[in-house]
Amino acid sequence: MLRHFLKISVTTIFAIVLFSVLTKISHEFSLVLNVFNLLVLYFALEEGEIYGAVMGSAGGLIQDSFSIGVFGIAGISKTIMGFLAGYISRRINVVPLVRRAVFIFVMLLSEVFLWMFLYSFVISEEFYTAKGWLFLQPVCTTVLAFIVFPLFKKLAKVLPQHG
Amino acid sequence: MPSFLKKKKNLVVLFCLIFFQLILLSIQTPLGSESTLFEKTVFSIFSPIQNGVSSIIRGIGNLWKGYFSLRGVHKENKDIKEEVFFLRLENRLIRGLLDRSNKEAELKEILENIRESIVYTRVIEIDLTNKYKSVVINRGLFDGIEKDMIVLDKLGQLVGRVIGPIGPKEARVQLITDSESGTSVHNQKDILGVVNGNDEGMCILKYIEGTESGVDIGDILITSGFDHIYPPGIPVGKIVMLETTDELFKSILVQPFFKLRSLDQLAVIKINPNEIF
Repeated sequence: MLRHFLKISVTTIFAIVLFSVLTKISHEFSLVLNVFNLLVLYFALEEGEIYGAVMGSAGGLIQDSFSIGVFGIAGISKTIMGFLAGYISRRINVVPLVRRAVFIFVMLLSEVFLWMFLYSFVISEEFYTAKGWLFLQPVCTTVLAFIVFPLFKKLAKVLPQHG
Repeated sequence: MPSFLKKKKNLVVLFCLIFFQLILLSIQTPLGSESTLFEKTVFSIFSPIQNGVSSIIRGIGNLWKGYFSLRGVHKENKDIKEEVFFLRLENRLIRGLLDRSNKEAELKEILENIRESIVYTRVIEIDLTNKYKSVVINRGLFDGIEKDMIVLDKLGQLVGRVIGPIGPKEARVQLITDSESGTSVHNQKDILGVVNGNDEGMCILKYIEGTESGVDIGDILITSGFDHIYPPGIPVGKIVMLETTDELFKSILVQPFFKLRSLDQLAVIKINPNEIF
């Protein structure tokens, strides 16, 4: 239990640090590389749908706290994505590289569209796509997943094995 | 727990989480622009991490510069820049005062406090959803920052105002380029209007009637003070496009003076503007 808590805390802090570094380099990076989605997908694939949903809520609320918009929109879209990713990955084999890449891409694409739908529905205003950069998010974040997931795994291994 | 709930435990968790967030969303509606306690808490917990990362990156950058360039010159340059920063802002505020005050003793008393009212700050984060909406600064409750304090750039031009949430060492600033922001302004001919952001880095000057002839391209807009948020006399932007259509009001595009790319140094004015202007 303690190990799980530590694992979640450490990977979450790592995600925020990575997000902050990317934002410092360029604001467009924070749009095309959604680190919080990776955090959700990592836990969904590793631990299942409940972890995916819980991390979706947490990741979404953290993301919303970094923006002036309505607090909770990203939380809903990420919760649903986390749950679905965990649920589907238990029923189909997503371990092979290409299949995993396609699976992650589809999940990220669904999340972006769900977020856009919720944003338009709740706020009733046009959302900012940064001249279309936002639509590159699923592709770029999928590529980043193959760099970040091994790092998340290494971080988890560093933690004590029992507890 | 009933057996059907046990069987569908995962779905129950999912619906509970979504329900919790729907409650969060509905709580915000009556609050308007106010942040919920939960949002303030999340902001206060996670923004210090960003502040820390920002400080480390800046520190590494400074170390690099300091080590490889002439250290003495670099330090001197930094000191002068800081001095110029304060002098410009003081000058801006003093000019505003001189225009409005004629009591020498009163003026002297205010001038003594004016420097203490300027809080030097840096941007640690730009809004994730839209960079033209808000920024987070590395000053907060511990530095005496409060809601609605005005924020200027290093040239004394209007950037925005402090809104919630305000953490111990961080605060969110709404930029004038945010579509939710509204600033009462006037031009050189005292024609009044309201400037709203367009979420794309520009502003729109509203409520100028189609028949109004006192507004033209190139006009400088300054705050009028009628919104009771921004004090009068602060430069806001310049009219870059003007169209008269069939509609009641003109369509006017304003280029704000502040540049998002050069928001490295900002000033929060702590003193209540209505007290000094």
